[in-house]
Amino acid sequence: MTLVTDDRRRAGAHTGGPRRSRWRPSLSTRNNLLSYVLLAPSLAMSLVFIAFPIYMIVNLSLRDGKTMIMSEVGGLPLTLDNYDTVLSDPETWHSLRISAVYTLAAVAGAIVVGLVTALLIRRRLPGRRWLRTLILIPWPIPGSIATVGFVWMLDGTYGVVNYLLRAIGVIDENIAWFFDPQTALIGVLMPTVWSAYPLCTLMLLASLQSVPDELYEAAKVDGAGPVLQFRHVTWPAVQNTAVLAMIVTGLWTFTTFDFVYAITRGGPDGATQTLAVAIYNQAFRFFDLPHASALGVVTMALAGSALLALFPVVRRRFF
Amino acid sequence: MSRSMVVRYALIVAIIVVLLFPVYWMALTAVLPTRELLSPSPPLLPDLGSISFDSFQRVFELRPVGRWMANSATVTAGTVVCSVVFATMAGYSLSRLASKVGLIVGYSLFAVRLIPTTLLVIPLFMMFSEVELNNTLRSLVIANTVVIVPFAAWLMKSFFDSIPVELEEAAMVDGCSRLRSFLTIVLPLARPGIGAVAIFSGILAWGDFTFARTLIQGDAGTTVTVGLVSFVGEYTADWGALMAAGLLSIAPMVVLFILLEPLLISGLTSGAVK
Amino acid sequence: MLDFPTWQANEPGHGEALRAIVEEFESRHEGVTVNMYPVSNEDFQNQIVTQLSAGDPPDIIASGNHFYAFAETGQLEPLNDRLEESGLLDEWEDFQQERVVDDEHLALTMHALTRLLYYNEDYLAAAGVDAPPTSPSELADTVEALAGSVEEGVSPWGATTTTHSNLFGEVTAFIVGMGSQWITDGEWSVTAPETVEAVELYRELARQAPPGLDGGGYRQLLADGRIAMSQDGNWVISTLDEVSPADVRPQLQVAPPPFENSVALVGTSLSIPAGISEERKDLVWDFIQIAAEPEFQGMWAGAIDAAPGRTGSVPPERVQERPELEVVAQTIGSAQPEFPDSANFRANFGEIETRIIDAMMRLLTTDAETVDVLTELESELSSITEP
Repeated sequence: MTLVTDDRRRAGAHTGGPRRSRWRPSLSTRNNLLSYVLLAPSLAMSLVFIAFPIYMIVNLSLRDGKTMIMSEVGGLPLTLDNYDTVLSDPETWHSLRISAVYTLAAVAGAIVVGLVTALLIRRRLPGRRWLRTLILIPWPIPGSIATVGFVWMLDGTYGVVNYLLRAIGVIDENIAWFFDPQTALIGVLMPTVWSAYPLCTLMLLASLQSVPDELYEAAKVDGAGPVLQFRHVTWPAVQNTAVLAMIVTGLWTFTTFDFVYAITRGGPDGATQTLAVAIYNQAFRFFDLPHASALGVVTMALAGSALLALFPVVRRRFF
Repeated sequence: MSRSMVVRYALIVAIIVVLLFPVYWMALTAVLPTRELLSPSPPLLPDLGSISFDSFQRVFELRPVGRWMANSATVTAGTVVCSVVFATMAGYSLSRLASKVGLIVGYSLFAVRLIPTTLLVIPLFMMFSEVELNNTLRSLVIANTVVIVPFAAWLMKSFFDSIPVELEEAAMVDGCSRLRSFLTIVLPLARPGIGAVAIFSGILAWGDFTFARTLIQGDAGTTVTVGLVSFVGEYTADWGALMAAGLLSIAPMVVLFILLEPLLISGLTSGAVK
Repeated sequence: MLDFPTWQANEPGHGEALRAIVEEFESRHEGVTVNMYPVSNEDFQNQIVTQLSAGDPPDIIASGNHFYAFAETGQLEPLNDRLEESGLLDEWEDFQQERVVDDEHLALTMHALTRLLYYNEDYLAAAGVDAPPTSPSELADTVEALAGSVEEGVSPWGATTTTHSNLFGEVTAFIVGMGSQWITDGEWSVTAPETVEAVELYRELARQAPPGLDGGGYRQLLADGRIAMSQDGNWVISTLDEVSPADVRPQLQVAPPPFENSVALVGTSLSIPAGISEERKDLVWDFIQIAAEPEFQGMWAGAIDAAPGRTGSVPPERVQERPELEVVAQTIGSAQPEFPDSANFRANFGEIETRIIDAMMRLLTTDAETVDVLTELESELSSITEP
């Protein structure tokens, strides 16, 4: 998204580009006050609607007993057993693996499609505005609706995707995308990537446009082919943006649930059971909220540590 | 036209055909009788004679699609306004004023993205029912704003970062207060960024499914996404009507997006360093 | 205003009957309206459970197999006193017992359903089969004959072949049909010979079914003439009337299931949530009583070809004008309950159902031996609960 400006700022730092806030003793008190006043609504909202739910979930995860009734939760004894159960359950690790594969593959797919499309429409060419808009069209389409469309396209008997693949000779027999455990995850990834790539295109496009054409000209003069140009000009310019795009897409995929659940409900036989689906099953099919909450806390901890590990990268950009 | 241009166009068109095929197929399914498509070799191009808009008619007969749209539009508009206001305030604060503490607090806003939404909805539902906001479109505006603002605030922050701080300093030397210089100097320059945030939050709000299906009960407040999925009936799979409903529900946002896309791009790419 | 979410609001047959009951209720209660609204079946269970759990439930709670999940929250009002006072229990069919948990009647059953054999007579004739199968082996033979004769794009058999609760109901109908149950005589009987044989048959037939579909998916294909035969609920007859094109509908016929036993399941039952005011509870009870009146019992059951909860509510004229009802009556009269007689099975139904569905999907998508998968399933089920 915004990284352009930052890339540019880094590039132009020596020219005295804009700087972020500085400590100004004379104004500091007033500034601090204003700073908190401006932050207050967002902060208050986050505290109320995020901190409280997290507190509830952690609280629930420490309770002994299988309940769905919130008002009864406070009366249950405290225990760490739920974590013991969750961590020793092979299904947790199975789900974690599926989540990891799903997330990584979705991120890789989205960033590749995003990069290819961004590179194609980077340069000025007649009609670019419309081509660019067309490429970004999946973005405003709600994921739930994209999902319905893909379920129909990937149908095992009448799906048009099978027909096309047969027509061009890639496959002989229809693939039952969501039925076959080997292909179910691939099937679920298709709508996920389709919904996720436009944001990557946008972010990368924004940062690509800050690369002066002269750099490419210079590279050409030096005899660099497309591959070398990409390695030495394009990639250095977009890598920070790409990392941020990957973080955003990754976080979104890791916690998302609608695509998988709407299509396969975690099946067949657990082949697409991500952590989000496992949590849903524990809470809404087995009615074991404490177990679901413990699994949720584990999930949050994992996502949180991934985010923390990436903090230095993000800080380079923002702090 | 040079050869490389031709190649480039060909590539772009090819990739657009692939990427937009799902939308095309939805449209085709909506206008053709489903039975024609229930074949191992469905027609890729419609026989113009068999095109009909029965599916659309069926959708309108069966369900209050107009009301769903109106609800989604209300929620989207409310969310855009709230997100833009909060994100602009927070973004400016993070960019110009915040101490390290503020920045860390700002970063931790991302915590919202860590909670699996399936788990988030239960406490949210309880809180809204406590203050009797359940089943109101307002609750959707609040829930959507909560998850959008952290991201939008950082978007605005980096936008403000690109506006030279010297402009405000000059104004402040001339006797403007910080607040006044923010309102009269920075804000007008930030318009493209605000536009980008508005589009961004609008798209997310229109597409929300998880909140809408948990926090709203009853037809009165149903939004398009939830309404459409309720079309995936238990008893039959009417693909034609389903795709027609899908097209109807994406149409407003897609049209808006096509019109506003240049604004989004300029908001994201321009920055103010000129 | 009473809130009444239901997954059946727009379903053929159910929808009209429910609207008639709502209208009658509103005409008898000045100033009280019923806000009946559709929720997709997929979301219905989790929406209602969330609301019950948070102590903010809707007023009228309908349930099919969701009942066990709702009962599990402990937030359904026992109806014993009200039922006794109204004398309704004397008028009611035995399947009301399916809604009794620890001696408490937590819902009133509206009607019972069964599963039937649906077939497209043109395809059967083309395969050289003159009558629908009447035994499991005939069923297998017929599907095999169909596989050799149907054109490309038509499947011989339709069944649920995806992770969906339909799968549980369908395979259970086979198991009950062939004389077994998940639990027999207080023991898990997942690996009993009859169970294995029934699951084997389901598995073998499912190979001839379009992959990856749930009930709604293959039902639509039957209606569109893309499936030759399937086992499905009796309520589907009225759905076919509505969605099947005029040139296909006459070919679609029903027959009793080709098994020794047929299966009976509770269609819809109505409950009062514990978390609403006494005044509202009384109104909801009035609503349930209206739905329990002979007129509406007959209308609802008649609209979906079901057996009404109140004995003898379907008028004989209705049976005469609709030959399918004869098949339904014949089937349901001798039906066995879908659920085994086990309180633990019901209390843990969500988890048990999930395990059974996963095991079935393993059978449908891999080459594993049926006995091995069922043995593993039995040990999983044993670790969830005692039978």
